[in-house]
Formats: sequence, structure tokens, C-alpha cells
Amino acid sequence: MTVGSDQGTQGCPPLGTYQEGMDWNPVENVIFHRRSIRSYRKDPLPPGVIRRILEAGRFAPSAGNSQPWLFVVITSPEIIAQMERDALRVVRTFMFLMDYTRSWFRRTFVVHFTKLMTRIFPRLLHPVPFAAMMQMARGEVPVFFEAPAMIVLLKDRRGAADPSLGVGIAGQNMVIAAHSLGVGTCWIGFVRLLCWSRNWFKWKRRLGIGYPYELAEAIVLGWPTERRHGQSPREVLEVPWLEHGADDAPRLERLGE
Amino acid sequence: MRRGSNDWESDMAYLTFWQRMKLPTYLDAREITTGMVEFDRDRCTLCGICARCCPVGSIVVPTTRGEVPHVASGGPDIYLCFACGNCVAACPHHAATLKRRYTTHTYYNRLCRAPEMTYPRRY
Ligand SMILES: Cc1cc2nc3c(=O)[nH]c(=O)nc-3n(C[C@H](O)[C@H](O)[C@H](O)COP(=O)(O)O)c2cc1C
Ligand code: SF4
Ligand code: SF4
Repeated sequence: MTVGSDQGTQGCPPLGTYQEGMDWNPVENVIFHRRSIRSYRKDPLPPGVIRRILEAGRFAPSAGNSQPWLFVVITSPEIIAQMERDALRVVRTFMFLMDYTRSWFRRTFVVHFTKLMTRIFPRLLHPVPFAAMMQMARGEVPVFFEAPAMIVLLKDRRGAADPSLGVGIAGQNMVIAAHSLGVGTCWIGFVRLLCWSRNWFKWKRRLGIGYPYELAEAIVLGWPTERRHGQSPREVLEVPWLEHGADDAPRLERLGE
Repeated sequence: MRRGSNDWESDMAYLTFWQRMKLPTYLDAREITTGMVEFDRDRCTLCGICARCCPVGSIVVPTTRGEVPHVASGGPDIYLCFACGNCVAACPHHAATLKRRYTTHTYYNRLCRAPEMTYPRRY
């Protein structure tokens, strides 16, 4: 019988016994105090730390244990700067065509084109990413936040069930591990802007994208410029509990209120 | 399963057919409620941390003392803020407070099950 490396140790004992209203345990603490970090120190992350973070992704659960992901590590400031430049160029083109807020002409005419495009790409042009792109085009906010490192998440289309979910879980595993080590992270969905770049074929080659791998997301990482671990509020969640007979109505509980 | 046992839910949680068809824009405050952040004049030291963590880069920090940061505005009652709460969480002097949550009134999903968003609760 093969043995795991934890053989002989306790494995992972519970971090405490649940009591109502008790303090967060260390894992919960990381979960609740994690914030997306958007300003990083210039100094590079040690490769050991990155490996440690990647390892948390490798051990994420996935449908059928099909592990439908590939992680590409980028620590070259030159490459990250090139990605920034290419993504920004795409944003500026998009906003030249679609930013309907800038002038009277745009508010009257361009808005209809933007709405048409929003029907075609409803989630990409959701008002929040749209506002972010308006600000990027105006130079108010960068795409990759000048982070010293990036993990690009590729999705293996041949995975079981829904590979995108697996990529998300692996990514969040890495994010949580990173924050527990004091490394700041931010998910960057805007990495997919590169798909519209005229250098897309270069990026495909560089990142190893091509069947069966698709560009899914990216996570930027680095040491945060300052400790930034306040909590932020979230929406109250309405949770149905089905706890009685098969025909009884569920009890709706408002979580977090 | 019928939800909507109180005002906000019946009003907000689900969209009618027409609401699902109408795309919101940043031009009309009836279609979109943007976030709103208030900065406390007495506490703010103009350190700029909030501006550096805003995902849409929309906090403008003044350089002269006595003024307070503000969130870029796109029109009457429209701010480029989606109420992520990052600036509030980051401000070391607790000078920023989230005054309003971001919600679209048409087409997209809404965050509207309670009048305010809440912090993690120790159950
Ligand atoms: C899949 C995904 C993609 C994201 N893409 C971006 C992005 O491109 N740029 C960005 O600034 N934040 C991005 N975020 C971060 C969210 O804006 C952030 O998680 C959200 O505002 C909540 O804030 P918090 O992470 O500080 O709690 C992304 C998050 C997820 C989960
Ligand atoms: S982080 Fe707080 S103290 Fe610093 S500029 Fe922003 S509101 Fe003012
Ligand atoms: S709540 Fe978020 S989006 Fe709004 S101003 Fe603060 S950091 Fe920016």
C-alpha cells in the first residue's frame, strides 16, 4: 500500500470545536479578510512562494478529478508590460467604438450601437466591466495593476462536466493560500481582452493556448504595498431550508442579517 | 417557491419581462443605482490608499488639506462606483463609508435582498 506524506502525523485535525458565535478560526480569517489587492510593491515574489501557491491549485477538487486546468506563471516584467499594453490597446479601441457617455453625440447615437453589442455580449459588457473599461481607456486604472507576477489559468476543454468551474476552484484555492502567506492577489478577468488583440496569435503561442487549452482567467500576485485586510460587506443572502416534510414549503432564512 | 415576503424582495429580487429586456445605461439613474461612498473630512489624511485599491480607479484624492476625496461622477446621481467596499476596507483611518449599494434595475441581476449589505456574521 502506498502511503501519503502525512502518514504518521495527525493529518489535519479540526481547527477547533464549533461553538455558536465563536471567533473566526485561521482559515475563516483568511477567507473573510481577503481583499482583491490592486497595488503591489515592485520587488519580485520568490519562486518558492509561487510554487507553494500553485500547489494549492494543483490540489483543488474537480469533476471526476479531471483536473481541467493548466497554470502559466509569468514573472517577466517585460512580458507583463507587453500584456498591459496590448490589453489597453484593445480597451481603447472598444471604448472608441462604444463609450456612449463622453459627448452629446455619443449619448444620442453611439448608445444604440453599444446596446446592440451588449445584447450580443451581455456579460462582457455588463455595466461594471464596462465602467472599468471606460476608466482604463481614460488611463485612470491599469489592467494588471503592475503586479510582479501573474498566473494565467487555462481551461482544458476535455475535462469532465464543467471545466470552467474547476478552473475557478483551483484559482480560489491559490488565492486563499496566497493571502494566508501575506501575498496579495487579484483575479483579472480582463486578461481575455487579449483575445481581441492584433497580437493574439503571439500570445497564444507564448501562453501555450490552443486545443484543448483555452484562456480562462488570470490571477496577479505580489506583495501588497500596505496591509489591506479590512472586511467589506456583501449582500444578504436568502437561503431556503428544506427541513420538514416532502410537501412542506421551505423556510427562507436571511443569511447575514 | 414564492419569494418576496417583504418590500425589497417583491420589488427587487426578480425582474419582469420588460425589465429583463431593457439594457441599463450609465445615463439614467432610473436604470442603475451606482455605489456611493462618503468620506469623513475629520478623519481623512489624504493618504490615497483608497484611490489605489479602487477597481475602477474612480476615487479622486485632492492635494489640498481640508478637502476630501470624491468618487468620479458620470451624471446626475451616477457615480463610477460599484460598491465593492474596497476603499472602505482599506482606509486605515475609517474615513470612508459605503452609502449605497450598486444595483441595476433592469436586465442584469440585482443585489437587493435587504436595504443594506452586511459584514460577515459569526454564527
Ligand atoms: C472571475 C473574476 C474576475 C475578476 N476580474 C477582475 C479584473 O479584471 N479586474 C479587477 O480589478 N478585479 C477583478 N476581479 C475582482 C473583483 O472585482 C472583486 O473580487 C470583487 O470586487 C470583490 O472584492 P474583493 O475581492 O476585494 O472582496 C475579478 C474577480 C473574479 C472572481
Ligand atoms: S484611505 Fe482613508 S485617509 Fe486615506 S485618502 Fe482615502 S479616505 Fe482619506
Ligand atoms: S466602493 Fe469600490 S468601486 Fe466604489 S469607490 Fe470604493 S473602491 Fe471604488
